[in-house]
Amino acid sequence: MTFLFNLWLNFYHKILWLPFLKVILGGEFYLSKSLKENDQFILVCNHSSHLDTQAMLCSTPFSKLYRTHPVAAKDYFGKTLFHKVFFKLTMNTFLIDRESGNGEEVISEIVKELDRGSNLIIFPEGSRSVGQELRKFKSGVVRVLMQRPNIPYIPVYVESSDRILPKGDPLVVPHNFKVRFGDAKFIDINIDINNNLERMRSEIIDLKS
Amino acid sequence: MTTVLNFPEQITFYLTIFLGVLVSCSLIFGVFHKVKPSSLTLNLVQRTNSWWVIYILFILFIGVSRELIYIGFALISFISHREMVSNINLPLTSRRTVFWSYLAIPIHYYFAYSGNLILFLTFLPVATLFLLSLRTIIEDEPEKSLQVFAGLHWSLMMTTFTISHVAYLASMPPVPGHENGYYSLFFFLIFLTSTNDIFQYIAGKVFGKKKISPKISPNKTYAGFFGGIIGSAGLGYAFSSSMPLAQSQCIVLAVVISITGFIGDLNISAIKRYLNVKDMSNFIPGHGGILDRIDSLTFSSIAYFYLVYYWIYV
Repeated sequence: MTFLFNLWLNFYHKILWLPFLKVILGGEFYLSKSLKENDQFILVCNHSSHLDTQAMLCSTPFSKLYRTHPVAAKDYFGKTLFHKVFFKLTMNTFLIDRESGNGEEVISEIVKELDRGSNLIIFPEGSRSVGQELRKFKSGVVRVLMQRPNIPYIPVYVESSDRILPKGDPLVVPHNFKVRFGDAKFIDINIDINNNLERMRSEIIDLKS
Repeated sequence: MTTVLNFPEQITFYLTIFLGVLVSCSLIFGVFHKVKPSSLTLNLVQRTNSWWVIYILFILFIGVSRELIYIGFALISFISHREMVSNINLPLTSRRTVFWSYLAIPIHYYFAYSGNLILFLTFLPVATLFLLSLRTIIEDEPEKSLQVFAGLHWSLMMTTFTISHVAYLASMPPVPGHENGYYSLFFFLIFLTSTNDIFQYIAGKVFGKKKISPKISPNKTYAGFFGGIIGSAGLGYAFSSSMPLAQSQCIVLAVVISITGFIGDLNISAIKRYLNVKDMSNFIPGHGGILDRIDSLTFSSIAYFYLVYYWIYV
């Protein structure tokens, strides 16, 4: 069953979406070998468009796609039963309740998911940004990694995807965009959460050039 | 033997010779590069590889069916236009105008497909000039409006209007008593435009000293320019028996393709210097974008089309 689900996800992302992203929308992918070398990782990416998630799932290696989950907000991607089923079957989402007010519980849920061997896609900005500037990073991803410091994270920078599908405008306009994957990094448990976040943020922005 | 390809006998013959040349080039340069790798052998291998791309695309898009010609060239125009638009950095508020400029491409190619010369010649230069402004007026967004209008219209003209003239060759009525149809017209234009680059490269490498435009493109020399003209004229003479034109006319055509191809190349280079980019995109990894590949064709297609039209149909 897992094998079939993996086949379907690979078909959906690599056969249907990837050529569309590359030829019609104009995506350029700069993969890093850390995607292949590491068995488990967290992809940490800037977020300015819904396209970012799609671009990252399209770049995930064949054998890891079925256990790679974008961490998504329950209030948006789990609005109705249809939303829930649709995004589970296509994007393989992992829903979290960002409005519960109980951050620790959400963190422990994500850690449990990691212990099951999952890879995660996390947007530390929390929501899509508008314009060039990255939003303030939320500390969740570092707090998760602090509990599992042996799991690496891979910084990703998606450039000008907001040109194609920005926040608050459903019209898709083709425009060249770049997806750059960095090398795998580990969290430094000797420094505090804010310094780790600051480091992560600069690692993502450094990929821009 | 039945095949999916419709090429007439003579064009098939030329294509087979080209296949032989390509295979031997790949083998020879490949072995050289394996034995003693240098930047020259790498360059030769890359050039041969991009020739394979031209060759395979030519056979797929032109040999299979008439409809595919328009679809193939529309795709090439679309990708080039996207590369241009992505590089000129238009404001986000103009994205609906940009969307309309994309819509103009299939409409224009439909007019080319239907063979309606008046619509084909007026829609893009005249109608979109008006329509793009109209969309911006509806949006009520004056931000960088001149840059939006000029950039989009120039880009459409340069990537779509010019390239579609190649596709329009398939819409021209057949020439009486000529059995190669439009295939020979395509073959002559596309292969001469691309071989011109090779002649320029070789002549420039061997004799090149004085630079033509050191600021726009530092590796263009007078020797390369004239070497391209002479080499193209020779090839034009060699292919003239497949064309519905006299030998002398084919040689003139070849020289015109060489000169206009050279100017088209420098035209796109000047834009790239201004935008401060090396390539328009990285669509073909290691070879840059589509617009970097078809830069010579942008001008040579126009000159070729009207010369052929004048000689055959007027």
